Amino acid sequence: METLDLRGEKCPDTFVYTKIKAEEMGYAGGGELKVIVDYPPAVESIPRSLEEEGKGYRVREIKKLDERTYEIYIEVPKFEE
Amino acid sequence: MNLNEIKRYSRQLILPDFGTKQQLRLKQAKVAVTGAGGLGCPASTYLALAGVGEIHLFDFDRVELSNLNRQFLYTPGLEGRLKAEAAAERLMEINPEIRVEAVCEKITYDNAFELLKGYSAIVDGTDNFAVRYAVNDAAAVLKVPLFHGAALMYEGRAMSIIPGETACFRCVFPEPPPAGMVPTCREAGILGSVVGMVGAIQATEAIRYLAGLEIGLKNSLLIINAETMSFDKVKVQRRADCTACGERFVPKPVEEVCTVESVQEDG
Repeated sequence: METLDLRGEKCPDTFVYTKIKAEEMGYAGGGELKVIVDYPPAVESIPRSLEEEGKGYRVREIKKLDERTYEIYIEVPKFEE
Repeated sequence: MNLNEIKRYSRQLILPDFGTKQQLRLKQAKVAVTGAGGLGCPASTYLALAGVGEIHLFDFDRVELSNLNRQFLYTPGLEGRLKAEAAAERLMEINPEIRVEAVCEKITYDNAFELLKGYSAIVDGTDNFAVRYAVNDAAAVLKVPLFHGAALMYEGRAMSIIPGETACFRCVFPEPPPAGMVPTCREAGILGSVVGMVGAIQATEAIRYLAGLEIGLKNSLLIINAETMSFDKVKVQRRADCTACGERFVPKPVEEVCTVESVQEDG
């Protein structure tokens, strides 16, 4: 599993980094990505934005660590070239 | 006009419906550009190039690296500077014949009616519903022509509002979208050339209007889709019961609903 620590980042940069990491993983065969955020709106926005991408990303779980910090677990499929 | 000005503006002075009288009207005009972001940069640049005598740029924000894919008045190294100030300096380099002033103040429903007094026109380059409605309502009450523009992802919109004559922004959209419709991060995406088209359209409308020429976006909302590159003009109408420009003005401040920061800045 890959981890992306985005604590300190806000929207839309949280999604910018998530998208770039997920695409990199998708082209490299897919896998699981853990994204850590401490900007609460991103918890709703990242999954929605990923879904809108239409690339087959699946948010498996969202874990709340504390008042602001969340872990988002994303399954990244293998992309067809 | 001095010889320098005649040469500088020569290519527009020879336009069929343009001449010294129109150029002089531009020189005497005082225009407010609200927002020095994705729309404000192209709009204010074309106003400056055309010779609008006085431009006041409203923006309280500072330059960030993520602005530079579209806000071409800023260059690397300017991060952290007040946008309105940096843009005003750049515009006066581009055209030293005009005067550009920076107003680094946040426009609100409470101050808009005072801040936007006395302008020949307002070109709106904000994409924050709170400010957009404040600017619209102030323009309607103060009877200042308003050139509206917006851009999001690959879609752009523009509309020209002449008080007492055409529909205002609130006639068409009486209320902002519900708070639940907070845009996703994807929707904060924007391409410089798309927002640039919209800003250029706003400036073209404003320039022609200020020069005393007919304009094309009165009672019309232009909707641009840059994916299919289609331009659609939707007819709109004034509403007698409009709270901004109708029979009775009713102040209606709008709250900021958007959490995606870059959407607010821009257009």
